[in-house]
Amino acid sequence: MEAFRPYESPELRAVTGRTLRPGGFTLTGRAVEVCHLMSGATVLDMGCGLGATVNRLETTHGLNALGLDASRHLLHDGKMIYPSASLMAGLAQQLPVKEKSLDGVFCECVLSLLDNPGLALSEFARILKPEGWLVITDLYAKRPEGVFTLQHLPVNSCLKGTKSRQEIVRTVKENGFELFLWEDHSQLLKQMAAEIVFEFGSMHEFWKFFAPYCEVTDLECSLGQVRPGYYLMAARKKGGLNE
Amino acid sequence: MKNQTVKPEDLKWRCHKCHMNLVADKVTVAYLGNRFVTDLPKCPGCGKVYISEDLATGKIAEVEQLLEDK
Repeated sequence: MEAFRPYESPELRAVTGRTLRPGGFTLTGRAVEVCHLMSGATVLDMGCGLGATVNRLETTHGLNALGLDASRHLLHDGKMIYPSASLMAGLAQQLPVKEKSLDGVFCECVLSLLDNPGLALSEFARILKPEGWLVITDLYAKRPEGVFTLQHLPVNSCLKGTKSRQEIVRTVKENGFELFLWEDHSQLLKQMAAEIVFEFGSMHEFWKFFAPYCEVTDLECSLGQVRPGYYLMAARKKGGLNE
Repeated sequence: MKNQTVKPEDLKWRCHKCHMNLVADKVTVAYLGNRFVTDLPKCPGCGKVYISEDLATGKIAEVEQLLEDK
């Protein structure tokens, strides 16, 4: 029996739309602006899901975008919705991409899902050109002292991999990047939570669906300790003599 | 999975001004810079929206708490 992956569910899609994350394309557009990614730049969208961001990067921003995802369910649906998008199955820890070939990597609401984010980050560094851009959006723990409890709950989602800002930044730097920008966008997470309440009736009902293997009260308590927020980070691969 | 915001009994209300039964319709709810679209009972004449006590003390109260970070 396959484990339940809430990000593959139509119920979550009803709340988030095809981007499957807080804020839709808000932070995608902000990142393209911050990184000055010009038309024709080649980028990877890691964890592309249905391919909505790949399509957006190409049609709105004029980039050449490739999408990779581990979910064959989402890729199957994505190829029907965006038939001209380049979407492939692949793992972040072993990217089927040549080294130093890309101008940018987008990793939106994905890093916290990975068992080994450090390995994924080193792969991102490998495939980026020197001074290439890494864009990450994801959950983070505003109160790091709650992270340990959350990590040990039977939750198959981004919540499990939620880490503190310090730990996230340290891991990014350890894998060949320089931090350019960190912005808090927790308001987008709150907006999504409110939309969840309208869709599911209450957060309590949502957690019963989202984390079926977990006691909801344990999860709610743990989240109360962690105080999840949402961030945008832009980082540059160390280039030239610094490599 | 969608939890119905508009209950059948909500549509038994009539607008006093327009003498029309309320209908379920898309309404944009705005609070603290956030906007949500949801179905709510609304007068098709004047556009006034009805929010039941259940809704106010249930979903809407929870949304307010989330947005106010309480």
